Amino acid sequence: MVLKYQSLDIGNQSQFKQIKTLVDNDLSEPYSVWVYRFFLNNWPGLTYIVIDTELEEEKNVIGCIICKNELHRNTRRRGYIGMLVVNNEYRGQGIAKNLVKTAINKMKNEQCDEIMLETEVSNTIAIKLYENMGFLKMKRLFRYYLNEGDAYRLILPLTEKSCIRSTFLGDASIDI
Amino acid sequence: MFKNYPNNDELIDVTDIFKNLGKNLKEPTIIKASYFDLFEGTRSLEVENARLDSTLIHLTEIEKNFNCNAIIGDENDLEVQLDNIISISDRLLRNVISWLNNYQTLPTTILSCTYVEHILLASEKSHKIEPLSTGNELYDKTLSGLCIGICYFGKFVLHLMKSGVLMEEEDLNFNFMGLDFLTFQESSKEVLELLEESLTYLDTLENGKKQYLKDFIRITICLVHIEETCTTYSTDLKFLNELAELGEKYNSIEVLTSDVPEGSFSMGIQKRMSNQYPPRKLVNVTNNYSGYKDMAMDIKRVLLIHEEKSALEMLQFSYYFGNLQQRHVLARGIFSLFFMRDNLTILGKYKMPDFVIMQLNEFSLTGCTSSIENLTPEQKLFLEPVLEEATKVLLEFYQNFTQNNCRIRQGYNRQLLLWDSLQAQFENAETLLEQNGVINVVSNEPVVTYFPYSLWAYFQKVTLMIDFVLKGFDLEIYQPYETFAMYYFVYYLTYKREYALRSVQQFIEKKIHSIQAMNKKIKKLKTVEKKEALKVQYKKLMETVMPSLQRNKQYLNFLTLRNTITKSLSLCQFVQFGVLKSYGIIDNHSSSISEFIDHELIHKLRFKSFSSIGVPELPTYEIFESTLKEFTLSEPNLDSKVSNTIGFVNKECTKTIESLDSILQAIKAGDNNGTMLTGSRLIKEDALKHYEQLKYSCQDIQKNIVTLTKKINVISERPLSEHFKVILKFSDNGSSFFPLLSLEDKTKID
Repeated sequence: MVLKYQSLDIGNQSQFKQIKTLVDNDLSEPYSVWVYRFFLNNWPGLTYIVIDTELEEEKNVIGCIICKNELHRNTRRRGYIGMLVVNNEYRGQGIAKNLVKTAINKMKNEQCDEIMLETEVSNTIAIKLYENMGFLKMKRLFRYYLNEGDAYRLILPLTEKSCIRSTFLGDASIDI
Repeated sequence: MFKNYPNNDELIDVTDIFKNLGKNLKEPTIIKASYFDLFEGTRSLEVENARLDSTLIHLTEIEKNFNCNAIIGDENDLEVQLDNIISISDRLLRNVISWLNNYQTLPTTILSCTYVEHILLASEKSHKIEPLSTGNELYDKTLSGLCIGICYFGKFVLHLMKSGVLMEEEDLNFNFMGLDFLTFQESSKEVLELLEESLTYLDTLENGKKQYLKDFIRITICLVHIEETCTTYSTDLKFLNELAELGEKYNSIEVLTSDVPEGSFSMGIQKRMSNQYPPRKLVNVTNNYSGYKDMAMDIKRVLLIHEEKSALEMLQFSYYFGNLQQRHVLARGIFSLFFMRDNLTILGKYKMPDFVIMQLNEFSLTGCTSSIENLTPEQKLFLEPVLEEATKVLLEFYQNFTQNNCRIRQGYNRQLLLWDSLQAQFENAETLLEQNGVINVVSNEPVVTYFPYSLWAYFQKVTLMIDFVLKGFDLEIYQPYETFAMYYFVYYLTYKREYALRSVQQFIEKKIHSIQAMNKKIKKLKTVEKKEALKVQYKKLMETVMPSLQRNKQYLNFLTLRNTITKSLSLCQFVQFGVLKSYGIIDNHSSSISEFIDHELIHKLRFKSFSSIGVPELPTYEIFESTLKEFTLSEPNLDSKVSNTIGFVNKECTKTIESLDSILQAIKAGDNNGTMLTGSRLIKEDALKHYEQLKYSCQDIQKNIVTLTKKINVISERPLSEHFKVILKFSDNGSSFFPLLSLEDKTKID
């Protein structure tokens, strides 16, 4: 098998459909098309896919990472990993890790001060993956997901700004 | 799908407009309202998506055509009808617990009952309670009464939600599907009458099964009465006791009757009514009647606060109620409204500003020159705005204990800043008072003065800092490598807290001595007038101030001992970490190799909450690093040094167990031993449990450090990090604030 990592082609409907199917089949949270469009159309450069070049074009997307990058409370630039999925049959090969690395590097180049994400408390594999890359569990969120599970919010600090409350970076509201 | 769907003549065809506008759109354009953000998006629905479109729910013909005003089965067969109503009522009551105790949604529990939906719709239409009208009293009186009673109880739960006490979705789901939960019903009178009528009717039946229904109606009556805890602030426990008893009784009855009649519970409401949520399957609820007992017991516990005799008891009650375990969602909601009342009083007894002073008097303000009652109107002006601010901060502090477990820690984080700012404001006000001659003197040579208000705020802040860090262990936030930094920081904070406690203690001791010295002074005075005047003053102080000072002294004894316990346990934890580090099994940094890992930055992020706090100052990264080095042992004679460390940890734990025993004895004796005041009278059971858990933790640590070294000594090959992995282990009886640093064999894990 030959795997190819690449940015999403926003005009490619097949890629869009495959990403949606991949995520729908894997994540517990059901997302509307709006959520996909929110990420993909606003930050097309922050979605990466993995293609198994030996498969037909209509079903060759076997993994994806979907991110965004926004100014948080007008004080620090926060990258966010919204979804990360690898097809069941392709797991255990470091594909997820490669996708996360690619996305972080891209967000780092875009001057992000930190990268944030949420994951289910019960998803120990994902937690381990992120913690091994330097992410820190910052909060536990009670019954965060529709499946009633708690979540952890994790942050990877990239600059000193990530380590200062936004209140003291110029924002008037209290950062919790 | 929509209740108020417009008529055809009110509809306009927008197809052409839509198509024309759409023509000009480019590929990446998203159309959305300005308020519609990602959060809204993740909760949005999608037509034709089976996971997000509730109109795609498949209903059977029976579900579709279910008639709530028709009798199911042979109407003349009492046995059949009793079975029908018992099974529906039983399922509905189990659904109430599934909703409240197991966090299921309203549409998959109470509103999944077709009779509930029918009654709510009919009642809303006629703006009055509309029971079923089948012509059979089992349906029209009993089932109707049960449904209506539960809906009325639902109305009370909605009130709790609307008052902002509970978090929608997180704490409770109240997706009411556009239905009106009897909001027109101003009191419970009519509902209770209906339920009583049902009981009277059931008494006329000659069938043993009627007892089930009578009990179910009694449960419903108890639920209806719960609102009185927040309307008339009733502390009558009669209905809560009955609810607990019935919950226990039915918990032991496995299966009551056959399955519910088809169509009586359905996903239909999700398809028919205004639904803003994705479709959800009905939950198969097993026997959960013990949930009623759990709920009743927690609400009963809340009402106990009414019996408080001091601000200290209120404080301790709230701490043990909220911080140690998550209480029933209704109990948390009721606590907030019962404690902080609509008439802006605490428990209907204390005005808010008085409440702040009461708390201050329990800690540091008694006998102070700067007590508010000793100040002139001009001097009061310095303090009053800060006391107003203190009221807000203190109320938020109490409110936080009613949050869910995760939110409590977030609340601590937010409050750190509030108490920090409050401390600064008090310091300014007290400096101004001092400049105006209002001085609390601790000693004359050298001159040491005392700021009771800012000292209180400082003590509260440091306590929150400690609680914030320790709660992180409870919520399993930290990785094992972070244990050193977190416990070292707690240890450091307990030193700072100790200093604050000592300052208060010094002042109190001095005050007690100065009052006692007045007696000698009286004897030395020569004129009778002066003697008499001093005698009057002495008597007044002995009667009013002295008992409070003695009380403060005893409370400080407790706080000091509690602080020492936290200090010792934290010390033992990071000393153990030092031992493991000495053998190279763990380090205070992540052992992973990643281009994104910056150890110092990660450390700073972990301590972000404290970075802005000036006093106590956050130790630098370098101090954390060098402290660990000090606690890391090395060759030569490593094993002997480790053996000494084991001895030290053992000793420290033994001392801590003794301290814990003193606190446990004081609690058990109801604070009557004269040396310590724990203020835990009203929440004795929970307080005892907390200190018992800490005691277990001490014993576990003693055993653990021996186990660790034994395991290490068995392996001769190095590095040991290839053999072992450190995990944080939560023991069954120990405290979750102090999990054990345990070793796991790596070959077993991988």
